Amino acid sequence: MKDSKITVLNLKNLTKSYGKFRGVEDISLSLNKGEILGFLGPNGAGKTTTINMLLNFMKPDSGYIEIFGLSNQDHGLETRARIGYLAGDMSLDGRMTGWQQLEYLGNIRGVFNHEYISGLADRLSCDLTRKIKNLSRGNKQKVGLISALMHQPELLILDEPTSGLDPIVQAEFNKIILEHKSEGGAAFISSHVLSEVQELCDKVAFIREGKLIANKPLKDIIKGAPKNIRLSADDLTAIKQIQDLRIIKNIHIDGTVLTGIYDDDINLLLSKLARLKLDDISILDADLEAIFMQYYEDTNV
Amino acid sequence: MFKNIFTKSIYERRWGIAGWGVAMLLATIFIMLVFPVMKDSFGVQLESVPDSLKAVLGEANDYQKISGFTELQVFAQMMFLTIIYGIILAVATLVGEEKQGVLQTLLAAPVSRTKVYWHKLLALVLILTVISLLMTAGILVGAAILKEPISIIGTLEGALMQLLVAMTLSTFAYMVGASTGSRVLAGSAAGIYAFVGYVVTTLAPIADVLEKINYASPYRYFMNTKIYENGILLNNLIPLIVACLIFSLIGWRLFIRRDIYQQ
Repeated sequence: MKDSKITVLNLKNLTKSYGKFRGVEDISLSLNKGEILGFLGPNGAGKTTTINMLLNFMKPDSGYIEIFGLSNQDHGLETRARIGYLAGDMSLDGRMTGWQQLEYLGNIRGVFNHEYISGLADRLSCDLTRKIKNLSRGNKQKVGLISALMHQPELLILDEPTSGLDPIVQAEFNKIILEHKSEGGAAFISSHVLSEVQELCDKVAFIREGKLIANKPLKDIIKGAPKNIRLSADDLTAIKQIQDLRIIKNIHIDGTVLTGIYDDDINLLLSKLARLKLDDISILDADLEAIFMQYYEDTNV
Repeated sequence: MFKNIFTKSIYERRWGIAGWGVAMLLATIFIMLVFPVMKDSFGVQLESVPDSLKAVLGEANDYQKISGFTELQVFAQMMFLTIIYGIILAVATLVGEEKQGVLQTLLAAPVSRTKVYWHKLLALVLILTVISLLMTAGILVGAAILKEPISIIGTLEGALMQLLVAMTLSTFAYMVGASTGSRVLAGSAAGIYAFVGYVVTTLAPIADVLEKINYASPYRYFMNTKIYENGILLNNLIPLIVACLIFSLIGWRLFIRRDIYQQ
């Protein structure tokens, strides 16, 4: 068996409710070594509930979780030793400096590599000498990210990881996660900012109202997804003709530029457009945001 | 200081310990210095007080000796500061950290809930012990300033018993917080227990109906037990220790089983 096919995370029929309130229902998914899974859904969809169960903060009502082939209920200490966790709004002890916080967590883990941590802090431009309570949200998040990475875990569980990070640090974060992946690590990244995971993920799972509505490789999702179309013409007649074809959806016209979404056979579109006099045409893959919205519309019965 | 949960818990409370400890020390010395005035005036006034009030204030003779005064005034008053601080710490330590999300950051590491629970509880015990020792020092310093002889052993025994009363109420708060995850419930339940217990114990000598309920009050095992004369009696010591252990064990069993999340 190839290394990349080793399953590091396996959720089977996971269900959790809070009394009358829904948590998650019948969630099943898996993650292999060297893969990154984007776990996407709007606020309140059940992402954090799922992560809380992964980390043993909560017990599922039914179903089970295996991490590295071990039950996370029975082998919580062993599995968590190999996991790095970052919450969206990481709560750290405000009275400690970044170094003190990391030293403390390092001592608890039994791993504290000063040099490695310094390297991460440099890459993220993170000042670890300041007290946590004096740090901005983004800088707190950096300390949290270092705490998730400092023991070089095999599996990263990241809940809205880049909230509060500026674009430069976000880019560095992406590089770090991709390096982690190239070294054989896996990551489970929850987010509602879809562009956040688009660059990183191999697989994407959509969750809505506690239920998994899609779980596919990212390339498969993008392949069958609608395209973003942008056409420009010399005069409005051509633009009007395109509109009359009624094959492009969500049309928006700005002067002699038409934009919209096309979700049918691309050859059919090209044959229809061939008869028209156009200045320019661009056909782009839809971003994950559009795909996400489409999934939601399709399942919103 | 960041080697483990216990030492870190002590370290993060260092300023609170220092502030509360100094306050305990100075307040105790101050109350001790009031003894000569109380001895002359309060003792005489108590002669005309009805028996029901004497149950609360003590007998006139008790105020003629520094040991009696210390038991009735110093321990009785300072004990409440230890109790209040104990309940505050018990609520803030585990369930407070859960609400902030700090507990989740810790539990994401390979550490058991059992270890977290007991390390934090041990830190609470140590902090309250330090506070009680500073109160003891205040009593001895106050007595020395007044040049009044007072038993060191008796004072330590009194301090231990008031510590156990405070620990009983603090472990109760810790248990409620650990088992429910609710700061409000933990604080208010412990506060009600502390208040009702005190009322029951002070009124029990004059109200037979409260006699049995009084066994559930931690104060019963310390207030009006004439600690300087009788020392620590096992039938007063054991119930408090057993109550602390029972509350701690119940809290632990429920804490390791329940869901943890930020509300």
